[in-house]
Amino acid sequence: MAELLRAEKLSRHFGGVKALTNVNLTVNEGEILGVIGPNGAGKSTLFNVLTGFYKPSDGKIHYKNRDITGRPVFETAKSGITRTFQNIRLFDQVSVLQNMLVGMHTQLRPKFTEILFKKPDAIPEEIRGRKDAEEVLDSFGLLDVAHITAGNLPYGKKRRLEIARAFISKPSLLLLDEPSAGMNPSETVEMMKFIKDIRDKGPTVVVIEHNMKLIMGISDRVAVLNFGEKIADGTPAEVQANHEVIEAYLGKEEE
Amino acid sequence: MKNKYKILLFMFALLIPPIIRNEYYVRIVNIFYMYSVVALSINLIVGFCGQLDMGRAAFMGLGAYCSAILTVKMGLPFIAAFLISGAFSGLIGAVLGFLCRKSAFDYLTLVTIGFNAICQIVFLNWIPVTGGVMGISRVPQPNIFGFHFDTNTRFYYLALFFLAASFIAMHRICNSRMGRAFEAIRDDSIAAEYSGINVQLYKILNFAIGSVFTGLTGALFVHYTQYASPFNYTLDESIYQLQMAILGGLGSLAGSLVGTFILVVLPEISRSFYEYRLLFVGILMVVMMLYFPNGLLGKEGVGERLIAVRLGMLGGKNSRKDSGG
Repeated sequence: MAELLRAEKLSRHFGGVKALTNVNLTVNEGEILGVIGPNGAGKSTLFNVLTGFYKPSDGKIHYKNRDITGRPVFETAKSGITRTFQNIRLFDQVSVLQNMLVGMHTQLRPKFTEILFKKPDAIPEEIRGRKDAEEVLDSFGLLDVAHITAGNLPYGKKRRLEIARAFISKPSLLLLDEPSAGMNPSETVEMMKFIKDIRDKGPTVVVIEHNMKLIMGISDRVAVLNFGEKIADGTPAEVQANHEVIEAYLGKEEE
Repeated sequence: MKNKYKILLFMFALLIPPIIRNEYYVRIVNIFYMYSVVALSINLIVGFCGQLDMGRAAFMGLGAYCSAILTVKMGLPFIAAFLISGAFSGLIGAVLGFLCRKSAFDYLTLVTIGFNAICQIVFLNWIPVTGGVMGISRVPQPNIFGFHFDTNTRFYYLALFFLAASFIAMHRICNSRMGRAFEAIRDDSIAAEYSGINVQLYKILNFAIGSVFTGLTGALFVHYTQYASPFNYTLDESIYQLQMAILGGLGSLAGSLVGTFILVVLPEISRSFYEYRLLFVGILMVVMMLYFPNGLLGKEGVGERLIAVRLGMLGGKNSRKDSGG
C-alpha cells in the first residue's frame, strides 16, 4: 500500500501543556486507521495539526510526497484533506442541499460573468453540482430532507450530513472525529457499515473513536495516543494485546 | 415568485409615475428605490455574510463625493463619474475589509463605526476638495448619452432600472457559489474553511461588492439631489439604513425592499408624522422583535406564516399545533 500521509516527530505545545509530543504517524492509501486514547490524549489536537488548523510547534507533515506543514486549512482542504467534528458543525441556517453545495466549493468554479449574466439554474456548473449533490444525498439516505434547513435535522441525520458534506468534496483523506458520539448501539453498528462503505468508494479514512467495538471492528490499523505521545500502532489484535495500552486504559496491575 | 408575477410587478412599476402624477410622491418613490439598493448591500454584508457593518453611510458618502468632485471639478460626464465612484467605493471597501479580515464580529462593528466617523470628519474638514460645511452644490443632473434625467419622472425610470439591475445582480450573487460561501462563513466560519473556502478572501470580497453597490447609490443620489452635504452621511444615517435591512429581514433580499418601504415611504405620508419618525421606528422595531424576530420576510416571517396558514386551511391539524403554546 502506498503511503498517503506521513507525520514526522509532530509536536504541539500550548504554553506548558504538551498536547502532542514527537508523534510519528503514517496513513496508507485505502486503509481505515483508528486513533484511540483516553480523554485528553491529544487525538483532536492531532487532527487540528494535520489539517493546518494549528501550526505544529515542531515536526513535519508530508502528504502525497509534498511538505504541507503550516499550510492554512482551506489549502489543505483544497488538496484533499477534510474532516468532520466532534461537536457537529453544519451551516445551520441553510438547506441540506446548500450544505452539500458548499462542500463542493472547490470543485464548482463558475466564472463571475456567468454568475452575473445567467440565471442560477442555467449555469452548467450549478446544474452539475446539484445533480452530484442529490446523488450523494440519495446514497446517504438524506435525499428526502434535501430542502429542510440543516439546523432542524435530528441528531443522527446531522452526523450523516456532516460526513456527506465532507465526502462530496472528493477528499483523498477523510478525518472523522468521533462519528458515533451520542449514538445508541444499533446506530453505531449502522455507522460502522457506513464508514466501511465510504472507504470503499474512495477516500482513505482516519477515525477517532471511544467506542472500542466500532474501532476494532472497522480499522485496518489502530494508533493509540496517551498524554500526547503515541504508545502503540498496529492491527487491532496487536493493540489489544499491548501492555502499555492496557495500562493506559485500566491502570497498572498492583505488584 | 413565478415569472408571470415578476412581469406584472415590473409593468406596474413602469406605470407608477403616470398613475400617481404627483411630483412629490414620485420623488419619494425615487428615494425609496435608491435606499433599497443601500439596504440590499447591507443585507449582503450583514445578512448573508454575518458581518455587522454599521458604517454604510460612509460608503454612500464616498460614492457621492467622488461623483460630485469628478463631475463638478473635473467635468467628467455623469456615466463615467458614476461608474468610477462605484469602483472607488468598492476599492475602499476592499481595503477596509483587508484590514478587518481577522477581526472578530464585534470588533468589525467598532471599526466600521470608527470609519464612518473618520469619513464624516474628512468630508467636513478637507475644505479644498469636499467644500467643508458648504458641501458641493450644483452637481449636474444625470445625463446619459445626451438624454437628461432632469425631472422626477424621468429620473424615476433611471432609479427603477438601477434598482432592478442591482436586485438581479445581488440575487444571482447570493444564489451562486459565492453567495453560498458567504452564508457558510456566517453560519460557521471554521467549517467553511474546512470546505476549502478562503474565509478571509471571501470576507474582503463581500465587503468590496457591498461597497460597490452602496457607492453607486451614493453617486446616483448626489446627482439627483444635486448637492453633496457632509451631514447626510452620519452614523445616525447608517443606523437608520441598517434598520431598513433588519426590519425587512436579514437574508431576504425582497425583505430589504419591504423594510426600506416602511422606513422611507411611511414617514413621508404626512409631515407632522415625520416629526415622530424615530418614535415610530422605535416602536416598530420592538413590535417586530416580539412577533417577527428575524424580520418581516426573514425566517418565520410574514411569508412563511402565510404559507403555514394556507397549509393549515388544507390540513387543519398542523397550524393548531403551533399556536397552542
